[in-house]
Amino acid sequence: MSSSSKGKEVANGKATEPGYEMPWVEKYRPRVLDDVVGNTDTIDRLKVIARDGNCPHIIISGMPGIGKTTSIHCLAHALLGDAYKEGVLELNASDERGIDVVRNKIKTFAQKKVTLPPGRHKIIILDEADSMTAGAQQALRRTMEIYSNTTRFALACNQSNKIIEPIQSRCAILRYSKLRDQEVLKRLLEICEAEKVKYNDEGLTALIFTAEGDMRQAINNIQSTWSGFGFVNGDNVFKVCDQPHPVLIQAMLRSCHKGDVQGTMDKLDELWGQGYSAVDIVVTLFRVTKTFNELQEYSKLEYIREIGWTHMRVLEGVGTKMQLAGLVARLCKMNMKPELFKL
Amino acid sequence: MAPGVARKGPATKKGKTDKPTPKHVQLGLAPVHGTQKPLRQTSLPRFSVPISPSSSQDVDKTTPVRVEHPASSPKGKEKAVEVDDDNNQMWVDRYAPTSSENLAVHKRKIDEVRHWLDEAITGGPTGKLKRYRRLLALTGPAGAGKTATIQVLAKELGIQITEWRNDSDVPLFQPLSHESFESSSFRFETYLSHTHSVLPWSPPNPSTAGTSAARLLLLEDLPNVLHADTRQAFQSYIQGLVESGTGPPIVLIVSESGSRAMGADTWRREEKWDIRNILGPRLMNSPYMMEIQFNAVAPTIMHTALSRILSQTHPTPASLRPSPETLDIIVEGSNGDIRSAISALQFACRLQMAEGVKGGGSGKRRRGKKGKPGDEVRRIIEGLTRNEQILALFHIIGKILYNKRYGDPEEKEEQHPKALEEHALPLPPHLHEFRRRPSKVDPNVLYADSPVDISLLSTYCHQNYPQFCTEMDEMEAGAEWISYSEAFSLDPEHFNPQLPEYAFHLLIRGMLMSLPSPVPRRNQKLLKSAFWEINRKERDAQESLRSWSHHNLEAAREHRSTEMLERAWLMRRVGSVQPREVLELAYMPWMPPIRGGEVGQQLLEGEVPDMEPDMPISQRHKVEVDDGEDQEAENGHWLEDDDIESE
Repeated sequence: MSSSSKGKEVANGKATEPGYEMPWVEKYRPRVLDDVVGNTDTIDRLKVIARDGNCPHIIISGMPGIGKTTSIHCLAHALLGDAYKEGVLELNASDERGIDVVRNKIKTFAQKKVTLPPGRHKIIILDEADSMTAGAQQALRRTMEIYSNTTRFALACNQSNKIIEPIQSRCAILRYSKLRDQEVLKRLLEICEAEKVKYNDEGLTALIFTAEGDMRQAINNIQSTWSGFGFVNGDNVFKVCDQPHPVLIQAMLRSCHKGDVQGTMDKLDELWGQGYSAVDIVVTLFRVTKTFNELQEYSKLEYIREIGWTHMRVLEGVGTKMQLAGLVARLCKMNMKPELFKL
Repeated sequence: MAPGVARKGPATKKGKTDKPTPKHVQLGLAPVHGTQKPLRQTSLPRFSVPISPSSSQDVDKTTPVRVEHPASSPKGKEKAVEVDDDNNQMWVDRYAPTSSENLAVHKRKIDEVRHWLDEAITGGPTGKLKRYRRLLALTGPAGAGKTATIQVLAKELGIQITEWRNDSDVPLFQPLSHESFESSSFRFETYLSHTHSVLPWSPPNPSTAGTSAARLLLLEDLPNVLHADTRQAFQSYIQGLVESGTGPPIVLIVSESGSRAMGADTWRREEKWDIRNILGPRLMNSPYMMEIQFNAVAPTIMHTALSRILSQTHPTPASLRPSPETLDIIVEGSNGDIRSAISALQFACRLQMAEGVKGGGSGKRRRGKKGKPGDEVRRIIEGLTRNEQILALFHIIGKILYNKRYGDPEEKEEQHPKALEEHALPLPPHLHEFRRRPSKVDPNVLYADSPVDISLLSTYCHQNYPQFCTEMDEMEAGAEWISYSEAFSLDPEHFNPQLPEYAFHLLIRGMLMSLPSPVPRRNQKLLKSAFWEINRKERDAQESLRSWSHHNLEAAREHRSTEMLERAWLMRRVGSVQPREVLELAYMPWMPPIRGGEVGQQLLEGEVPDMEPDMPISQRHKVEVDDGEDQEAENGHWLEDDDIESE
């Protein structure tokens, strides 16, 4: 198994020589389970399966960008080696996955004869399985059982409770938790090294802040920053990600705390003037608020609620500056003496 | 009684069957799995006649291979050869129960099912029950042993199972259009009618007439009944079959979801896959239909079942057998789902073997905790079964509700990061009451690690937080924040990945803020949320009330008794909130008196809450007509603007 995965790596190295075109996300996508970042316990379990074969049906659930699909692919490669092409059927949300597909395509594949070493099975990978309709999942249920002799299913999804219970019952469920900042950082550093990226600490922090534990996003961002600006620092990262700079947002929160409506509005104007949309601003406000140490517990709670309300309204379509102005006004008012509002 | 009689069935059959292909005989030697699965998967959709999984010895001699599809058998062979042995199989298949003693189901349930099957085939002691044993629905949570029970019993009673499967004999690239749905239900119909009309007339083997009747139609892989038209077609079809009184009895297996108090029920109500939805009220109340509800497998039974499997896998005791503790963990973790328990067991054994092999080498494993093997296994099991979710859930809830903060009295001088407090901007004076010592709980970390859904967490929080409060105000504040949080989590229409995060933060932070600090310890016990239990009860109650009143109404119609009608009507008004049913009354033969107010008036003076129809009655009725009262709907116009309630 290890030999075959090495083979893949070599092949991959060749493929990347033409250079620039390949997204780093793909280029540095782990090929073996050992390289998958984070969730060590869960990955260890997968390694046992990879070694011994007889893979159970599995469901891997977790947030986007934490390596669900990658680890399923690694597992499939480890299990099937050269037979990967014939032995794996992958369907993701962009493929047709209605009931008829489940009934036909999957069954046809499951009935296909592929010679595999003992203890190995064909694998059907259903990415984003939680987007399948309940009906399609019901149709899948029986299929899983009937063909379990030759075919095993690997499902990746964001929320395992969107998978119907009968399927859950047939699967081993592995939950991936969000990647820690250190784990993302480690990988970013490796990439910086490999690609000779120039960076400073602030830049990496910014990447981690914007990615929020989503490795895919972090890597995409570092690549765009590097190819766009040639240097990864905080400002460049925020420009690339097109997000308001958290420093500005922090300043806004501070003046809210002082009850300085005018000052806050000025800062909001500035952000608005830079062309950020209401969603951008609200999202960043939330991200900053929840980790902003200068706020007391109570203020954080209340702020989060107010920001949440505004976010909902923005999502409903009222992405106007008025909404944001209302938000900051409410945040300011919270810190002003209540007597001031008495008539 | 019954089994004894019926057991003759297979015996006689076996003697006379024409052996389909020589290859199959060869299969007979292979273990259960080798034979059962391949046959099932290759047999063509219309005539898949799988043998029960347990027929390990007398395999498939009874399988009638259809002349029309001779291709099926060689394929089956290939598959079987491919399967080499042991390691290749999931234990769930490999150690499927072979006799009713081995079933991990309560004896009484088994007997109930056996009884039904017996009556369906032989007609019971009087021979008359046959007509009423037309449709059996086995319901219950996933992994409760429904399918296994029917398979095993069928084998024991010598009943042959014919199973409908949605299969792939339609071209692959058929456009996924409306027609394709219809086509599958259409195929279903043709299949069923085929089975019904053909099977009794063409017994697979020229055997006695008695055995040819012992058939059973198993429906597990249903057409897409979530699709309204398909469902209707399905229901009316089944109904036709059931009421016709001919053909084999039907067994329907439905794994109900949401019955386990686990994940929140995210499906919209009408999308729910449960027996009531699938069959519809008419069939549910039909005398031909019987439902047997399976419960989750009880721990003791599960224990026995797992031990049985272990005695097969590791005949030499104690060598590599997982420890009893491991077994306990698995049983406890499986939450009554035997299937997932067996998978977990298989996995645990594999790990144990891996560990055992490695034991000689110097523990390459990173976590070389030698002390208790249980720890390792426990961790793995927890990760494999759904139980992890519950554990993680209680872990999080504990963290929230105990509300630990730096500087709590029982704290042993653990210096809290002073910097944190000093750094923070002070709260303005009017908010001083909300000052708290720095919390030890970091909601961000909790959010990142939480494997559970926010709505689940919030129900559990809601259930458990009151016992941690001392003051009314704290309760009130807590409820307030839970409700805020809910406002963010219950909006499937505008679902946005960010919103649950708000809900999460509001819930956790809100709870932390409202609970007293330090939380008084009075042996609080964290409980399961009662929500699902109550929800289920409500549904059941409503359902039974409805069927009761339905019944009464029928009777009232027959007897033209006003008194009975009154009762039925009252039931409806109190019991179910289905406006259709009240309205149904409006079109009944006794309408004039009610309309005149005599009966209606009496009823309405009571405390029964009014139900205001919000659109003209006839219109509403038209929308909701669904069980054949069309002719009454036709003359409904005379009620156009008539309000039966307020007159």
